[in-house]
Amino acid sequence: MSDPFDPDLRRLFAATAEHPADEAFVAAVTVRTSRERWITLIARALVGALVLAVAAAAFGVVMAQGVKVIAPLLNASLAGQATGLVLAIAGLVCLRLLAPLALRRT
Amino acid sequence: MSPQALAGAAEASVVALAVCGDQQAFAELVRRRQGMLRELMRRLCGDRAFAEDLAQQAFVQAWRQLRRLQSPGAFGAWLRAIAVNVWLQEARRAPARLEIPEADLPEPEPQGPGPADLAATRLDLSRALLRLRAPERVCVVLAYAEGLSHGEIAEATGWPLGTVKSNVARGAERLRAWLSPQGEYHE
Repeated sequence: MSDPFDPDLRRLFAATAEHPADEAFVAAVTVRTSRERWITLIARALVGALVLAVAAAAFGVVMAQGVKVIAPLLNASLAGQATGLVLAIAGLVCLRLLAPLALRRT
Repeated sequence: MSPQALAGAAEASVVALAVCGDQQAFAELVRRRQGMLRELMRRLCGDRAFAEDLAQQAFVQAWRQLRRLQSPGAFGAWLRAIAVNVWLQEARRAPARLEIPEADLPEPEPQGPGPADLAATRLDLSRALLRLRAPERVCVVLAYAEGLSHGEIAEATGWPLGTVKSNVARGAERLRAWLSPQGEYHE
């Protein structure tokens, strides 16, 4: 297959080529990528903290609502106490199942 | 891996380490590819300091996007595509910085034979490149300085093959017209 490009121009570009090699350039890029790495780590930590804060707030609300439902049952009768206990255990089981998923996301 | 071991390792292995977040491995990649990337930016920018800055930006972007690299063996082409993209973004953002009006360009000096003229020839070619529109310049540089085919240029720029072919042809034609009378083009 023939070369579709002008050979004289090709020669001119080849003759004027420079191949700079400079450790200072490598160092400058390394400084910038390290900074980048720190910024990424801090951003991830902030996002993680935000997600945890939201999760904790949601957990607090759920607990408050749960106590509102369960507490009267515990004071009502033996059947009420049993129901309250089952609800509390069910809540703990849900937490145990969901916690790893939430942690994996952060 | 120690810096000595990294220096002797195959590029695909160094890329694989860098993808895992190894900064020393990435520094080794910068060391190996800086010549290509800085030369590309120098041709495209004309201004050496600005070219250095854009070359650094390209490496930083490569570091950010390294996890997206599909094949470690394609690192060179992938890095070049990032560099072209960085330059094109700059050309769109601040075109005045990359295009010098013809009236502001001094006439090239007539050339005589001898190695002392190499610097002058380099300067004239650099000035002539600055006269080209951004798409022509990037296509001509990739074709003639980097030795890429039309298809590879289309891949690096994301432009249709026809657009690349016409940009290379038009750009080369303008370069020839500009350089021929001064005598440094034809040997």
